[in-house]
Amino acid sequence: MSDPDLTVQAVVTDDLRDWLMAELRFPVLAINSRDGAPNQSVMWFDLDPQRPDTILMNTMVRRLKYRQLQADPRVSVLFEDGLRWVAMRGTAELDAEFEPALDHIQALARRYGADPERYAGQERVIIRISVEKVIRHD
Amino acid sequence: MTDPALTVEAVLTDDLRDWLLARPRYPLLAVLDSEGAPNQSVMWFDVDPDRPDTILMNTKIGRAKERFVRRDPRASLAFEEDMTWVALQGTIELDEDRESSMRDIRALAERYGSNPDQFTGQERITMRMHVERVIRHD
Repeated sequence: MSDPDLTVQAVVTDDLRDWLMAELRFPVLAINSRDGAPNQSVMWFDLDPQRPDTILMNTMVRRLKYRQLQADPRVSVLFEDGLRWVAMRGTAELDAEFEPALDHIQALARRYGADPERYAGQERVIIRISVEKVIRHD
Repeated sequence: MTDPALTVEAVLTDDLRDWLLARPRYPLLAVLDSEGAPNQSVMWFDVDPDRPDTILMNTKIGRAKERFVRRDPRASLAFEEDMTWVALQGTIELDEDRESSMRDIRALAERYGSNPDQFTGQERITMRMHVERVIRHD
């Protein structure tokens, strides 16, 4: 990279965790579609309290996103605050145990001020993203 | 798609152009890196006044992004406003005309209230994204 505003690091540092949680952020997840073209969508997220360098998201089993991640788990997640932004490159692991996944989406809904009850009965999956590279643009 | 909040269209409608241009937005460009994994960055953009369904962006020659787009022109461009977001899918054509590319980055800088002279002496290239699919989430 030739851009002096970019810094690259391997881990989610404490000050980055603080920045991520400082307000309700809506990261954009980029994954590959079945034909390999990039796809983006806005997601809810949380940090994994048990594992460092891990971002948690959640989707429905019947969504295209789930099948696309099964086919290619490489992802990028970008958090934007105007021209200050952080991109994370990593690999998604899918955990389709429905009960913990439902608990997780309901906890996310509470965090984002949405109604947890609207997810009752859905077949959900936890997307656990292991962050391998962090690119910061200040 | 199974999400009732998602709509899919093939073109940039007039009301979508108005929404894109309503204020300076910082869209997220996702392209494919040299291994085909998704790579995201935040961009300045404008709607091409002369071509329908075309978004103008600009980068510096020699950036990783330029190499990635040359290798695979497929891209996604996401605009977000909390959970209202629009993702454009399409392909990027690089404009090899250095002079018009320099005029384009200077016009973008002015549009975003930045100093156009900061780009003087750089080798710039305009990226023209042809939109093939519009995904809206309201």
